Amino acid sequence: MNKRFWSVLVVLALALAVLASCAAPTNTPGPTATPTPDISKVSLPLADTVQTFKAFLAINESAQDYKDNVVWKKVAELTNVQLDFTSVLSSNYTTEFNLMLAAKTYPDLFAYPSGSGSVNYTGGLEQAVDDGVALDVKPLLATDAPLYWSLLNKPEILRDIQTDKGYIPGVYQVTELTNDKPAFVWGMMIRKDWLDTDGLTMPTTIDEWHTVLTAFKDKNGATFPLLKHLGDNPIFMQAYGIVANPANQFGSGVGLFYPDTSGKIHYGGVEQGYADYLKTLSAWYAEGLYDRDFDTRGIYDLPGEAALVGTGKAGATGGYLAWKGMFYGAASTQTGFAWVAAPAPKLTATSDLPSEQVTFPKYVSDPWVITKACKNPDLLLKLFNWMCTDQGQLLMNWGVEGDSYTMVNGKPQFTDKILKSDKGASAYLEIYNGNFAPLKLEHGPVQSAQLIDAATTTEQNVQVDSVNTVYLTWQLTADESTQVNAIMSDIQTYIQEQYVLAVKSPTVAAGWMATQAAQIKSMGIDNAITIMQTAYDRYMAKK
Amino acid sequence: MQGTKREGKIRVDWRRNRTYYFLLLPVLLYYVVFLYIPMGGLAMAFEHFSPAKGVFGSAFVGFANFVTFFKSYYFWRLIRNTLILSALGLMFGVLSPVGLALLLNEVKGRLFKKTIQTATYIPYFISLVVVASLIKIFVAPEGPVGNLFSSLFGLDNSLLTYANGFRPIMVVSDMWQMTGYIAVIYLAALSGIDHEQYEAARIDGAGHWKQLLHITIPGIAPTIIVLFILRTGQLLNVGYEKIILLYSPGIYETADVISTFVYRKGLLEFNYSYAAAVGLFNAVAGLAMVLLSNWLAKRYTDTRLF
Repeated sequence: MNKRFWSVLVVLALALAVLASCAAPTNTPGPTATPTPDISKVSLPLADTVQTFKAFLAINESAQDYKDNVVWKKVAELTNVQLDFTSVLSSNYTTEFNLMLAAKTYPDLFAYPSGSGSVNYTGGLEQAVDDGVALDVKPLLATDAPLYWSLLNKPEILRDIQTDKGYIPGVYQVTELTNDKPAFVWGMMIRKDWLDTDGLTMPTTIDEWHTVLTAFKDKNGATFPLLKHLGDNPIFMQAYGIVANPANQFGSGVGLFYPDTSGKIHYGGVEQGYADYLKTLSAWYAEGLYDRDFDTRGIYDLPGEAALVGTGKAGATGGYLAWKGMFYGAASTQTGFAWVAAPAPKLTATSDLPSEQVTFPKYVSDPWVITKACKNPDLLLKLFNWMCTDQGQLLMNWGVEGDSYTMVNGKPQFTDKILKSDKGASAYLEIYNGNFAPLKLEHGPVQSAQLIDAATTTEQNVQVDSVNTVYLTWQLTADESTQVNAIMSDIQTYIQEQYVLAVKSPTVAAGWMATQAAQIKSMGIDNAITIMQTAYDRYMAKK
Repeated sequence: MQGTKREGKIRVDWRRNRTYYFLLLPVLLYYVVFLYIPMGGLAMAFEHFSPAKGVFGSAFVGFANFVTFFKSYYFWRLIRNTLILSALGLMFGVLSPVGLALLLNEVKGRLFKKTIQTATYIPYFISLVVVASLIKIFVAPEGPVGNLFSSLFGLDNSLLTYANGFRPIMVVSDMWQMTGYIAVIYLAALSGIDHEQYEAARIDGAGHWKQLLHITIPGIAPTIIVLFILRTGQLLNVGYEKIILLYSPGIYETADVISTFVYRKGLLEFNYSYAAAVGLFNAVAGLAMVLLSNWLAKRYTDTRLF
């Protein structure tokens, strides 16, 4: 009781201090409007002696190895909580993760990514808790991590991270609360200089794209005017109302289905929109507008696509704008090369914005999961709680003062070490701080503003604003996923094959609804859709 | 009676060759540790396997995974593709080295013979990934082979995107890579044939052709049969690494075989149990084929493997 009284006093004092520092009139809007968390004082170190925990994480490149990470070394120094990292390249993460599970050599902590290197524990993390693999941290949060919990405990966040049974199966990084749209999405990129020389404007509809691609082929000599989109993402399909690509080679489970605005689940392969899309694509293929090697091109062949664009053989593709540098790098021989973001195409000028599905939660990022093998989860949670203090937030988000950032007028500002890094500012920051801060909050947008130049942000917004982003984090139970896998096994092979044949032959594309869609139905797609609908309704009903 | 005699033999053999048995030990260990113990994992073919629960903890489902495979829309196509590709491989993989060996055997010029032998032998040492890239480049529209076909038949895509082109590409590239290597084995067998037989045949008035038919081919027949039986065991095990490197969904019609299917289900879709079931089926069918061909060889010739 006494302790609480003092902590309240400290909070008040700190709040006053914050107010005082904000008293100077500044015009910067935003972040300060977010509710300040209940700042209880956390005294360091967290443990008397050095405590070590094993962490198993995915990284995007070997340089990012957490072992060499400046920030995490500092964390260990300050808190006496040392993480012993095993960093696995995200391309191998799924396999290594499953091996780790099979060998039952659980670390204390593992990453559970949903994007690249995604792992999918059958039945989701809820099942992992029930199987005795993951720890439900919810009962511990209020006592071990009050600061963190104060921010997490909001209906819109809990809906995304709490499982059906009410577990919170990991420590999630709270990313955005201020921003209602994602910072970036998959989008189209196009040769702006060609558009200019051809006297064309930026295409926005399918018909305009046809005109533009024809011009690329006839006037600019492109042999692959439109390349297969990187990652097989459904940017063009979205114009036809198909939000998830049914023929995605790496898609499985929920990734192949999507809800419409009324909440009804669909599978693209049996939709008229998909047939129309194939009709268009096969016509373009026949006219030499669509990638003639689309069926043999690797799904993430970024260097290959960049080389084709850079040598003037291709004029457009889909992907992340962040990969722009690759394309410029390959274009040394092209004079006036301009590779810019294009809006996602609409079916006609009057169509609604196409929907784009994002399969991560809106306000949080992928969790770090504490396992049941962890001997002292309380200390680990206290560590994450400490990261939510002002000191912790600065360290986790910005790094070490004087090295990676300096305080300018009371606000952190990255130094040239980060900004001028030859790895690229964002990539180097990940190497430097490891990209996990339980509270990112307003730091996210402020950092982006420093890391990404205004022009790029504008371009990203061209893509972001051209779609209606739908956040979806629904999950199947173990039983549901077994049933869906059994049904989808043949259908996936079938549609991946038939999609290629349809693009190559307008006759196949024209007969899609009568032949292929009917075949997929006879393979039991309706049963899969019913299961998906149940799972989706359960997700939507969750409060 | 016989049993005790054999036992005695074993004891004598053990005493005499003890050192050799010790030398054998590492190999034996290798097989036990890396091939027999992992076979326990086959249990997952009868389970609904979950990595976290492990082989012993996952739910037992009996033959459900096998039934799913037998009922699969693609069951017959996989069997057909696998059998056709391996039968072609077997035919050309056995005939072409024999042919090359026989031809080389007739060559008198030593330098010429050695040159040809080396030239045909070298491709064997090229890594499969490199071979696959070479093939891709060759059959691309700009590549030499692709270019030929595009000017002859107007095929303006990579030959690897035509379902009809896949089998010939597999067979021809296999021949290119393996013929010279296997021919060496036949050449060794050929050099083992007694020269006096040829002299005797010549005295009896047998020409070149007759000598080939009645001395050379019978002389290497045991080698051909043993290699043939060994190949049959691999019949369902077509070189899937190469197929995976070369195929794409558009040509699954001819290119998708059991092992590539297992790869996709198990390693890309993480459907471990199902993939294990299909793989086990493949292995059992392969074993049955070896037994069958061995039995046939035993029945119709004197040569057999065991």
